[in-house]
Amino acid sequence: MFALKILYMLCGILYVISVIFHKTYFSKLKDNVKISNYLALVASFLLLYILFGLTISLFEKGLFFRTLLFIFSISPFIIGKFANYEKEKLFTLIQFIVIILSVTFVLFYLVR
Amino acid sequence: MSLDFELIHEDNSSKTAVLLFHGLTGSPFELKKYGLHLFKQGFDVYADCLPGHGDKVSEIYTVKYTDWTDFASGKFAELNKKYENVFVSGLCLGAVLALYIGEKYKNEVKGIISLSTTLYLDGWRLPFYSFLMPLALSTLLRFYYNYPECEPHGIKNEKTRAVVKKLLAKGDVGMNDFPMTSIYELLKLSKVVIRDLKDAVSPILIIHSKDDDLTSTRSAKVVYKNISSTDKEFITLYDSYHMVLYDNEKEFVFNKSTEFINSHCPIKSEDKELVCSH
Repeated sequence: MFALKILYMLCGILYVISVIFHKTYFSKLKDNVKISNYLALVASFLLLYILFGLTISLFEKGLFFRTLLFIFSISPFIIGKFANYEKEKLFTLIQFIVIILSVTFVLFYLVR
Repeated sequence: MSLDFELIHEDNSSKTAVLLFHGLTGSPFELKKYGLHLFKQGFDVYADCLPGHGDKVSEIYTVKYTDWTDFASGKFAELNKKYENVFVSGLCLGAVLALYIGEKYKNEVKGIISLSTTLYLDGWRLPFYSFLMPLALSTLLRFYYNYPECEPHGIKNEKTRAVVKKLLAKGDVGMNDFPMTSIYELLKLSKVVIRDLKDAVSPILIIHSKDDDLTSTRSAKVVYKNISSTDKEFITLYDSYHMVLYDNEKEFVFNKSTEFINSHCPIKSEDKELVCSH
């Protein structure tokens, strides 16, 4: 479970970093195939973040921890549901905050 | 630059109209040859640019599937007042819209011609990581990504492909990639259409290529299996990809479409003469 928590935090951080990198560098490239391949990598980080989070929330003890981790894990879908093109930057920021909160939350439980 | 076209017989001889819908990120340009063929057979033909596909490229990112359905419904209702028979046909997203019209106006639509129906994105051209697409579509990732229009551009015929490639580079025939937001809307529309397939009772001709690079024959099979129409035909093409109206079997598709329309509202012999003299 310890390793899973580490991987969960790692995937969350990698997702945030890779999206920032995409926004500042990759999205400006002309090569759509390169962008496409890079975003598949970003999607993989998000997929792993969700899967690790759901797995931890299934097997971890403590209802509060499990519930909160479950909500954090499905947050990309909730945010995605309400997001729109015009407010994409705002929703991206919200997603970043939620992921950073979740990583801090797991880290707090880990060192406690 | 508007690519809309209306091919109307000047002497009002046609009592039959065919309403055509183009594909996702395409334009009425891709229907031009098909439209001209139908016009020469004596039908009035209408093809307009769908919402989000006009001059402003940014509109494709904000368009909703309901914009497409409202537009298609409005156009059909308008033609239905003017003509005795109205057929609907389309390619890719256009085929899904034609099905939507068939479901909504089940008693008014004379027939549906569904070409390369795109209910699922599961063609062989999609990259190995396309399994991540549902995740990307349901999250913010759909705003970061445009699926690139790439080889073979839906066309098996190499000469035609080279021409389309040049036109695409100029931006004359459509967009160079598929924004995920528009794919998201297409798949939402597909869900609605699949749910209501039982409502459609009009005769239907489904044409789909076995080697469609964008969407497999699964989409066509789902339509054929679930539609309530008793008069239905499913034709599989073996020498084309997605853009069946430009590929090796285009003449076959044109002729089959004409045959289908004629068999469901035959043109009288005197009308045919009129068409020839015209």
